Amino acid sequence: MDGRFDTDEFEDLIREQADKFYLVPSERVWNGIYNNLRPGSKWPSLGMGLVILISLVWIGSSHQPQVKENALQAEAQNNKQLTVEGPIDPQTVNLNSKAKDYSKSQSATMVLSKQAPTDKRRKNNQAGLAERVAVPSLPPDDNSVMRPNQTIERAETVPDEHKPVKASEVAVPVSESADKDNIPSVPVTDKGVLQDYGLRGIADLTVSGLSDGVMPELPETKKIVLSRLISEATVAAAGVASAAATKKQAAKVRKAQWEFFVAPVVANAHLNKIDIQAPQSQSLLANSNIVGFDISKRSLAGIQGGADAIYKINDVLSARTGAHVTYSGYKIKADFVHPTFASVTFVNREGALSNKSYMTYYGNKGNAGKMNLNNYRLTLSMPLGVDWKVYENDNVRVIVMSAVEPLALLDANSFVVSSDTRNFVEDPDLLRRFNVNGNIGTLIDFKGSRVNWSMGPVFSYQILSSYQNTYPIREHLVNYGFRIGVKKSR
Amino acid sequence: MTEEQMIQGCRENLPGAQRALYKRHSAKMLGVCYRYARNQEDAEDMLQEGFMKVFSQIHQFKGEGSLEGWVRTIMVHTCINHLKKNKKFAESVSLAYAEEVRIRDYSIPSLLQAKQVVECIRMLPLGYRTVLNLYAIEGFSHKEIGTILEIGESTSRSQYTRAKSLLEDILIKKKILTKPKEKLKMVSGEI
Repeated sequence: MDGRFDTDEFEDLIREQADKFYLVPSERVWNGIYNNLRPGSKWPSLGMGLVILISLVWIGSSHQPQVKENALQAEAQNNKQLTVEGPIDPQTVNLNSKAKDYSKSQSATMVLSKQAPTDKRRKNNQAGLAERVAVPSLPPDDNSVMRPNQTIERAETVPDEHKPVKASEVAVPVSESADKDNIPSVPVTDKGVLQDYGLRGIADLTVSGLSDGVMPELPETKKIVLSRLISEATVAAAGVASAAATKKQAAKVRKAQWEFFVAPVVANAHLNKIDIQAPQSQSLLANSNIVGFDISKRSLAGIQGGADAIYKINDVLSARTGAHVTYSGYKIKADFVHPTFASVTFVNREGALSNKSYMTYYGNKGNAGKMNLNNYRLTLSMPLGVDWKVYENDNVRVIVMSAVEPLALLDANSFVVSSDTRNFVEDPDLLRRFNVNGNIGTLIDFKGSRVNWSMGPVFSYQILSSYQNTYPIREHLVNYGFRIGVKKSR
Repeated sequence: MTEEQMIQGCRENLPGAQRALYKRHSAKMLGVCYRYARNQEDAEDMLQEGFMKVFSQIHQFKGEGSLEGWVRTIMVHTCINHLKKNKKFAESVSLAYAEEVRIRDYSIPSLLQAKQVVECIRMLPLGYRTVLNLYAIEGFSHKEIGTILEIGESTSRSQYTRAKSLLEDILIKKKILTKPKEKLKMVSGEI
């Protein structure tokens, strides 16, 4: 760097002002440096994040169906007795109201157990809940319990200046007298602080009167003192304004980038049958188990829409979350048949079998009139994923995104195949209320001056079966979509 | 921790020393990066990259001159390299583009003093801004700027003249400077 001797006032002024300026970086910068210097140190946090994610998924997927599973187990016990006793007596069979009026409904359900277990189950659950809620209260003078007024007292003793200040969003110019190695940790953030420090009026004077260059009529000594105070207050006021502006700008940069999208999807289902190893005593049910597994199904068009919030982690990776609503499913080719009974065998965790009968109009692989049964799902989901930027230039950016997507079922229609595969029966209660999708896709971002368009193929696979584990057929929905999104340019 | 201990600690790759060096210089250096960057996020990226270089090349620092000056030089070069990766940077330093530049009055931010001056500098087109930063603030000669930015010395000179004129106009419009230009003075006194 050669020395120059042709600097004028302008350069001096600019340099002087520029040297006073500093910005406090966010903690993200140091974390990035630290992780780059010590790559191994990020594995514990990544591992912890993965554990939390898996825990959430597990809680969402396994906790909810547990109650129904217990109920089905109870039903299995009842049915076991019926099976051992011999053939089913049609007089003992109770049809529910839906089955009785089958001229109105398309299908009906017949429960083999003599009592509908729903009410009893509900009562039992309520009783159990009440027992759990009735926890004895702690003694009032127990030292381990923090009383509310203790907290208040403690809060009151904390002085204002010790309250945490978000340093990353503060930018103040360094005054001439400031120690450059010791940046003040408590910046002035508003005019009220000036007033707190006994500079009431000066802040107003600085903000309004000073810019006009007007000095009030005062004795000379007071003028000097006032000038110094004004100078200090001006620096503080500059801090106020610059902090506010930087905060505004930083907030704009820091906040999540929102992407709104719509994706036409084509869905299908991947079906697997699990083998049931029935004990000898339950051979009758086992023999009625699925022998062949041949279902004619077709893809169904659906749609997905939603909004994603994208948080930039570093130059290459971004975190993605949001809310999606998806309508998708597939259709089954069925035959319209005379009303008939069909049964489905369930197996619980202990391997005990239970049977449930349904009245149905739908046959499989018959010669009657063909019709379509739509197995649709309407879901609300929240993706938790990572975007990996694989390529970027001035105009486009290519992103590979992957996510796990916990979802809740909002509405559904579900036709399942009977155990002998000759019929289809309708039973939406078999569906899991919560599930998880695994998503992967490639998006191309087209950068515009105001908005960025992003589009590309996405693929989604439902990780858990659509049905509860008691149903011996595993159904995994597969969605193929083309996503078109828009987000505001940064 | 003295500066010597801090440098020695950084040479031995001690996290505490690295953290201390970062804490001492990061705010000032982010201010430097901010003058070159498009936004604060870019500036933080530049800062991160710059400090990575500082820590990896600390053994090259012989103690001749101040540590801050050495760190600052690395930061400035990191910023320039960062800008060079962007193709638009090359266009912005061409004269043809510079002729068409106009600054709209309403886009001038209403800020004060150092921050305001820096924001006014940041309003300049990228090419102007970079040349002005390097010449007026960092103290590089036009020859050096030409080498760094891979442009002619005369281009650097003319870019600077235009940048200076444009910045003066902005500062006068914002009443940060008083006319006439020959006698530039800060309005708000001796700051």
